[in-house]
Amino acid sequence: MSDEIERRLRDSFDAQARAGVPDGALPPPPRFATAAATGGAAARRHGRWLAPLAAAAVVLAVVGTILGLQSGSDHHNQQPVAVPSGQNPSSTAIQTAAAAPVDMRMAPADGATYGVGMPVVAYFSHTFSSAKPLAAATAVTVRGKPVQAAWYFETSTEPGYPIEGHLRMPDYWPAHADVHVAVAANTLTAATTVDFKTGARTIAVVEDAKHKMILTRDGKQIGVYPVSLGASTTPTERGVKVIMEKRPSVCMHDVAGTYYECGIKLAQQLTSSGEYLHAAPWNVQNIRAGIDTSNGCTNLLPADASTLYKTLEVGDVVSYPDAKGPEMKVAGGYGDWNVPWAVWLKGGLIPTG
Amino acid sequence: MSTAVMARTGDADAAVGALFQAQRLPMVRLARLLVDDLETAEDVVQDAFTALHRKWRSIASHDAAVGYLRACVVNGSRSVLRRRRTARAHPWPDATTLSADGADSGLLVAEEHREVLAALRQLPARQREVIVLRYWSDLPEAEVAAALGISVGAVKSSASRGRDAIAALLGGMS
Repeated sequence: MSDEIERRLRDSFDAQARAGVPDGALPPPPRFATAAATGGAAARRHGRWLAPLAAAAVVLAVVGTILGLQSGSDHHNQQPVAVPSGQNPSSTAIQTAAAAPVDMRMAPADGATYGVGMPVVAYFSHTFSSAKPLAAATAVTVRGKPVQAAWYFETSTEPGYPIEGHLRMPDYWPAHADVHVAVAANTLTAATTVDFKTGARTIAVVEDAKHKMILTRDGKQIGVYPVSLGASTTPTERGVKVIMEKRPSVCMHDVAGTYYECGIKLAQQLTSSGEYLHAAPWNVQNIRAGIDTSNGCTNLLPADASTLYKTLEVGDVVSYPDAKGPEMKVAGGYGDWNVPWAVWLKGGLIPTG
Repeated sequence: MSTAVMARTGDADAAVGALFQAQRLPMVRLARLLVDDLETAEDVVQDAFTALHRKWRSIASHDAAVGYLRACVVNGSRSVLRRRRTARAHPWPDATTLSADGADSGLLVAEEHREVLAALRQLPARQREVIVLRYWSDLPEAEVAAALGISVGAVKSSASRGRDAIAALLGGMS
């Protein structure tokens, strides 16, 4: 009895810890540096990390030494850069970055396998005027051969990290391939690498007009599934999304907090705003009838949700060409593929040319 | 500030910075189990690191630093709970743990864990702390005793009473 209680406690604590405080969440800047610099508790509460003493305190995973950026902004030139929520850092290596105003850490995780839509992402604690040195120092190979890839920068939704940079090729990564990203030491960053693999080219297209998801793998159709998307008041975002995370069961709530519901099964996250693919046993009739009733999620028949949960992986592409909501943003999840390549090459918020 | 003092401050910054990288996440998770909401947990942990930074010169070793942090987190969590005891009348759902963005914003924890965590919340502070340090932090009884400033005997009896109470609550819930 006691053993059983101990086991349940350990399991529940573990689940709560991971869900409540995710591994990949961006750490806030340490306050002790600010407190030491100012001695003031008031500054401590909402103050940004003041630079002077912080340099020695910045100890971060991996890489980058972004130097000489943004001379006019001395009150936030000293924060870490890290990976998006729900992802493992690419490395656990720790380096002291005493001389580095900013460090950079990239996702995805080294050695892992992802769908062909997986972007490489880095978060930046402050903006800078040109990403040219970073762009010039970045080399990407697929199966050992150099390929064209480019950075694109956008406002980030991560608190304290105003900018994020995404790296991708003109089209999805080739399937069943090894991808190697190398950033050479340059005037902005120190040298770093990320290696990952891609799985099959698995792409789901959700046609709102037909209320169907059509799933293809390596070019072959492998399934068609009825769906119910967002109701007219809460429409599903349009555009190409990428599976960010999978969870066997989640709780959900709406923006206003007017509902809160747990036990939503077989959930695969598509946007930071909270759109998922998930089983909706309560909505079977509307799914079959092709009526859009959800809060933005893609409701699936329970059996289909189970199949898709087994079939799809993080990084797989789920596209919504005719959904009725606004177009998904790059930083609204992995929204990279919504930007045309010609536009992407300009670098977005921070020019790369 | 003299050069010597600068150098000393620099040591503390680098050392506490390294600890912050390594220990922030486990400490926030510990605090999160004690105080229920993430923002408060982050606050408690930041305060613990600030205290460690202030006391750095009297901290003898890495282990001592981690032990000190843990004690700060437990004590900080308890004072937060004391301050807002009345505000915690309704233990679940804990809206503050939910991210505030988006339609269907998802998160969290399977149902079977929620009842265990709900039961944990019903325990008196001491039992809850002991249970969390024993079964989340996996500390031996002697270290739990050190973190809480109580005897090993008190750790044993709190753990046993806490387990019994949770078993009873879970029995009653199912």
